[in-house]
Amino acid sequence: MKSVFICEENFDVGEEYARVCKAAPQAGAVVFFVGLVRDLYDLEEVDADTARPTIDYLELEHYPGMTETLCQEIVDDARQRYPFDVARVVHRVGRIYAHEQIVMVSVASRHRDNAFHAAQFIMDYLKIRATFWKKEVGTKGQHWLGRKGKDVRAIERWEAK
Amino acid sequence: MIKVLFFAHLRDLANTEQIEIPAGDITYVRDLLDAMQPFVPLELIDALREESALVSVNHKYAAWDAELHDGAEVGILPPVSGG
Repeated sequence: MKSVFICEENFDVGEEYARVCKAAPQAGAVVFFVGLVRDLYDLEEVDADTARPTIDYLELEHYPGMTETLCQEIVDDARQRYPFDVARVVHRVGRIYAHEQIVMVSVASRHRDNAFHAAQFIMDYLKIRATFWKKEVGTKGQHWLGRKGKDVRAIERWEAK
Repeated sequence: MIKVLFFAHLRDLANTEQIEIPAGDITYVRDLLDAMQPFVPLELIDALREESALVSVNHKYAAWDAELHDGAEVGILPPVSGG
């Protein structure tokens, strides 16, 4: 099982769960996180007097080759810190419509604590290090998203631990 | 030659996905700012001087004052927004 998989097509959570369980037969815990495309803009950007703007889809692009290497490094860093049996990152690219799945992080470990921590660690670092870029397309036109302050603060918390 | 790849809004500004420029006088990554000028719109160069764009050399994050060698692949990377 590859621990990093970048794909255009949607993924099946049940299949992913089964794949991770099969690769980690001694695991006592599997934690997974699935990220979905929201259809609403972040609240601070919404003007209360106008009709609520909505997002139709995201265009996701990445840097092939570098992205996979960075994701693998993040998985390896998480394993050093919170030893686990198996982790897998599935991340979609291309056009992804509102409400569709965009990312899945799965971690299998002997006990639940490391699986929870490692999954969150991987997800937080994915947001700040992996070479993906999102363009939002919706009623407010289209624009590339930048880094968010809360994502930076999430990393600061890991580094302070 | 040095291959330079652009991503996201910086690619939009560059009007191209990649360029190849002679390694010639380039010693450091930051030398690309002058060396790229004949190949891309000035708006891109201005944006790179003003913004906090990241760079990679051969698929690894690098500093603007890192050394560059002939044959390198450089990525010009806006702040990422995956996940």
